[in-house]
Amino acid sequence: MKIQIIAHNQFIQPRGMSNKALRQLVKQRYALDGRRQDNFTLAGLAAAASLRDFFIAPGQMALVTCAEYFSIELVQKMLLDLHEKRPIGPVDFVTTVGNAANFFIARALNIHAGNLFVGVQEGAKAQAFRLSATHLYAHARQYVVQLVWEEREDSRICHAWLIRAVEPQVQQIKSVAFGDVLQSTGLKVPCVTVLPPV
Amino acid sequence: MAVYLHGSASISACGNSLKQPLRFCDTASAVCKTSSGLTYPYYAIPDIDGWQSLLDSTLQLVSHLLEQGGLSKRQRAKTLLFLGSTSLDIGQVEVQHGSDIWLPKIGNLAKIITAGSGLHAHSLSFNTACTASLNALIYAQHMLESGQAEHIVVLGFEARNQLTVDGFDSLALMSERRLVTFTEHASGLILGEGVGGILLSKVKPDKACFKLLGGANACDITSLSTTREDGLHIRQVIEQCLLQAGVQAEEVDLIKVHGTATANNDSAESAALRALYPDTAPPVCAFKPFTGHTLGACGVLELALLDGVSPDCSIPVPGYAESGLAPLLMPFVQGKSINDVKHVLLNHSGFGGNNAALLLERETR
Repeated sequence: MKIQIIAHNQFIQPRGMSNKALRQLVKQRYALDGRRQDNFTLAGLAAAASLRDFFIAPGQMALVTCAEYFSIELVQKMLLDLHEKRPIGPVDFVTTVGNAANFFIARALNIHAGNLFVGVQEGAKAQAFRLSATHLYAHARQYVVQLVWEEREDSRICHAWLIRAVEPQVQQIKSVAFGDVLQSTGLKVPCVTVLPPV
Repeated sequence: MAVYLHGSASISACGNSLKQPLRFCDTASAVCKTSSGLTYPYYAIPDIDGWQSLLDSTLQLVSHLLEQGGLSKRQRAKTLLFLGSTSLDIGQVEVQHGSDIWLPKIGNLAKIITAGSGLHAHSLSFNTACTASLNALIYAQHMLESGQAEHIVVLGFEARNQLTVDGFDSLALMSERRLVTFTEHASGLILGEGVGGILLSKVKPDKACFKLLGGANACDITSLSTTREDGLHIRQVIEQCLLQAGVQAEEVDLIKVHGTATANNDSAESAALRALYPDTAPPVCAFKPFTGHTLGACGVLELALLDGVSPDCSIPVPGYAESGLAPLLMPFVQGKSINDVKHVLLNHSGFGGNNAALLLERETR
C-alpha cells in the first residue's frame, strides 16, 4: 500500500500571540469563526484550512491528529485553578478532552468520517503517518486530514497533511521506510510516496 | 479478516480478575468529594490504595496478558501498547509556577507501562474521551490486519482524580443516588476507576474466544458535549460498524450499551437502537451499574469484564433490570452465558462528539 500526500501546510504560532489576535487572523485569512477556541485548536484550524480546496465529500473525509502535549495553556490553567481551589467551568472542562480540538476542526471544515486524537511521547509525525496509513488501509476511498502539533520554547507549529491511499488493492502494508524517522522505530512501517500536489 | 482476543483481565469495582472471581454488585461502595465539599457515590477498586498501587497492579495485569499469550521476551519487545484513557496521569501532575511548560507529555503513562512491561517503546495514547479505549481496539484490529504488528496490548485506564470529579460536578451530570442506566428513572452517572486489558493477535488461539470483526468511529459535529438526541449519528456509526464487520443487524445477539445513565446518552443511544431495530431488538447488557463510568477506560474494561464472565454463569444483569420495578428503555439480557451469543455489538459515545462501535463474534474452539 502506498499513500500520497496531496497537500501539506504548516502554521507557526508565536508563543506570546494572544487568543484574540489568533482568532482574528483565522477569521481574516480563512473566513472561519474561532469563537470559544483555544490557541491549540486555532493553530490546528489555521494549518488545515488551506487544504480545503482538495477535499472530497464530507463523509469521505477523516481527521487523524497527534500531539506530544495537550493544549498547554488550557490544561495548565485548569490545573492551576484546581490547585487554587477556584471552581472549574463546565465549558473549560469539556474543552480539555484531547479530541475537543478535533471537534471544532471537524465542524469548521465539515469533516464527517473517522476522527481520532492520539498522544505520543516522541516521534509524533512518524506515529501520525502510521495511524493515517492504518486508517486508509481500512477505508481506502477516504482522504485523511492529518495534523501534528509540535511545541517549541518560543512557538507552536501545527503541521497539516492531506493524504489518500493510492494502491488500495494491496492487502498488506509493506515494510518500506519513510525516511530515518520511521526507520528508527524498528517496526514495519507503511510505504509513503510523496507526489506533487494534484 | 479478523483478530482474536488471546487474553483479558480487569481491575475495577468488580475486583481484580487476576486475584479473585469477579463480583457484580450494582451499588457504589465508596464516595468522592468535590473541592467545594459535595459528596457523590463512587465506584472504587477494592484493595487499591493510591496511584502507585494502581500502577503496580496495571503492570501485573499487562504481565499476565503477555503470559496468557505465551509471548517470548523477543515477541514482547515487538508488541505495541495502545492505551485508551481520558485523564491519564493528570492526578499526578505537580503544579508549577514560573515555567512555560510543566505539563507532562501525553505519552508519559504509556511510556511507564511499556518500560515496566518490556513492550515496544512506541505506543499510542488514544484520547477521544469515553470512546478512547474502544477506538484503540478498532485501530489495533486495523494495524494487526495490515501486518504492521504481530501482537498488540490494548489497555483502558482511568484513575481517580480531583479534576475529573470537579469537572463532572460542574456539568451537573453526576447522580447522588444509583446508576440505573436504560431506565426511565436514570438520574445521572457515577464515576468509577478501573483498568482493563486485552491482548490481540491475528493468530487464532486454541480456545473459545471473541474475535473482532470490525468497527467504526466518527465525529458528531452537533455539540462538543452531547450527541444528537434523536440518535441518528450513533445509528450511522453502528451501521458503518456492521458494514465493516460484514454482519447484518439481525444477526446481532447482544448489545453492550454505553449506558451512562445521563439523560442525553440514554435517550440518544436507545433512540438509535430502536431506529435500527424497529420491530424486535436484541437484548442489551450494561456494565456501568457494576463499575461506574470509567470514562476512557470503559471500552476495554467492559469488554474484559464480558470476556471474564465464566461461561458457566449468566451475563450479569443489574438488580433493577431483573426486578421489573423500573421501566426499562430496552429489554436486558436474561439467563444467557457468553457461549449462548455469537455476535455482540459494543457501542460507546464520548465528549467531543466522538461515537464508536465495534462488532465481536464468539468463536468456539
